[in-house]
Amino acid sequence: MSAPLSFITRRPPRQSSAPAVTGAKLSLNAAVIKPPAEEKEKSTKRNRIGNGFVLDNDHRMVTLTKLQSATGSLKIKFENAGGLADALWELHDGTQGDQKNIPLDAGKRPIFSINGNFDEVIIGLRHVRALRRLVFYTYPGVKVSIETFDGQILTCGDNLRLLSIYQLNGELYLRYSGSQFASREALTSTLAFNKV
Amino acid sequence: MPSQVLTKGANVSLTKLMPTASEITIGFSWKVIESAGFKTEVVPCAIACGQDGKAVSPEHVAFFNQLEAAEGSVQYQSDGTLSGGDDEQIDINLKSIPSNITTIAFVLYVNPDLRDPGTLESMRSGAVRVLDRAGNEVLRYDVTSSDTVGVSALMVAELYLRNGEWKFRAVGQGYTNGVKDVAEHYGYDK
Repeated sequence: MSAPLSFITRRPPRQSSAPAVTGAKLSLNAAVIKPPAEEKEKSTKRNRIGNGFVLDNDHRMVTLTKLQSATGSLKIKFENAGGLADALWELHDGTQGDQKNIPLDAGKRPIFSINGNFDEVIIGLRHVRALRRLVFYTYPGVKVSIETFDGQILTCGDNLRLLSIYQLNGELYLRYSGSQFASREALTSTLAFNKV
Repeated sequence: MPSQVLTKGANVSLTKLMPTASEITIGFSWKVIESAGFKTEVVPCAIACGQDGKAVSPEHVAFFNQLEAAEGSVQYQSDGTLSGGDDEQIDINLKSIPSNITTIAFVLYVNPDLRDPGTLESMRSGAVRVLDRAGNEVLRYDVTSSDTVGVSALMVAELYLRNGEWKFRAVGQGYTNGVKDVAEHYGYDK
């Protein structure tokens, strides 16, 4: 495991409002990820997580509140994963990697931890603003659910292949995609993880 | 004006103590015993409450990821520039606090990471203080070791309105289950 990165600081820059994010790769539109035609956005409504909410092809994006985005941890369960999942991460400074080189935050914790055989992922949220995006690629038969610190749970549809988590102005956006990739290279290339 | 050191439960009328002050700063400081493992990460927050003692909404909680609350009258300054060595500061504009806000609670909590978050028992030299706009310390409450036994969150102090006066009280009330208890107590857990 690598040493704590100096650029992950405990404090965000002083400012009266949330910082602007200029990174082109953070775009939530189709500039980076071009979904298949059948996956066109069904709605621009801003969904909030709540018990019973299902993230699927009809409800492809959900936004956590600023409290949910930065308190405690986000717990993601991958039932029946059996190791069949991949993780990619990108920090706000553009640093990228996968599950083999997860950096530590200022609290000396990995920015996310993978437990068991990819049965569970814990994402630390104290330094969430250092994170730009996290992407998890799963396989058929894996059931995915996400729990916030306040006990709110959302489940993902059975056809989930790509769970993307974007941090924008302190809010986490969780995005569903059923897109499949022929290879890991195709995945990293399509998602602009060029430095992995 | 010399600073007053408050004991647990004591209160002072800011309106009388600082009659011309419209803006104050609440400073938080602490130290955490370092270990080789995960760090215990302490987070301060301010919760703006209505007459029922509950947070008006989840957006009325100011902390490092939600820098403003109560229509901008409460502003979290993550690298506060006033003197005195505070770790974090929260600015309060007493004149612009909305009329539906009658209490602002100041809380220190341990970030409840699922990976060995620790408790406030590892915190030392915890303090909350009131500063004027020049950075002069006016009031201070030093957290005692008994305040932090077995707890992961501590309501250190509160600013509250009584009979037209803003008062500041040292509280020192602990919460065993940390920020979850705090959210439940102040009603922003739903």
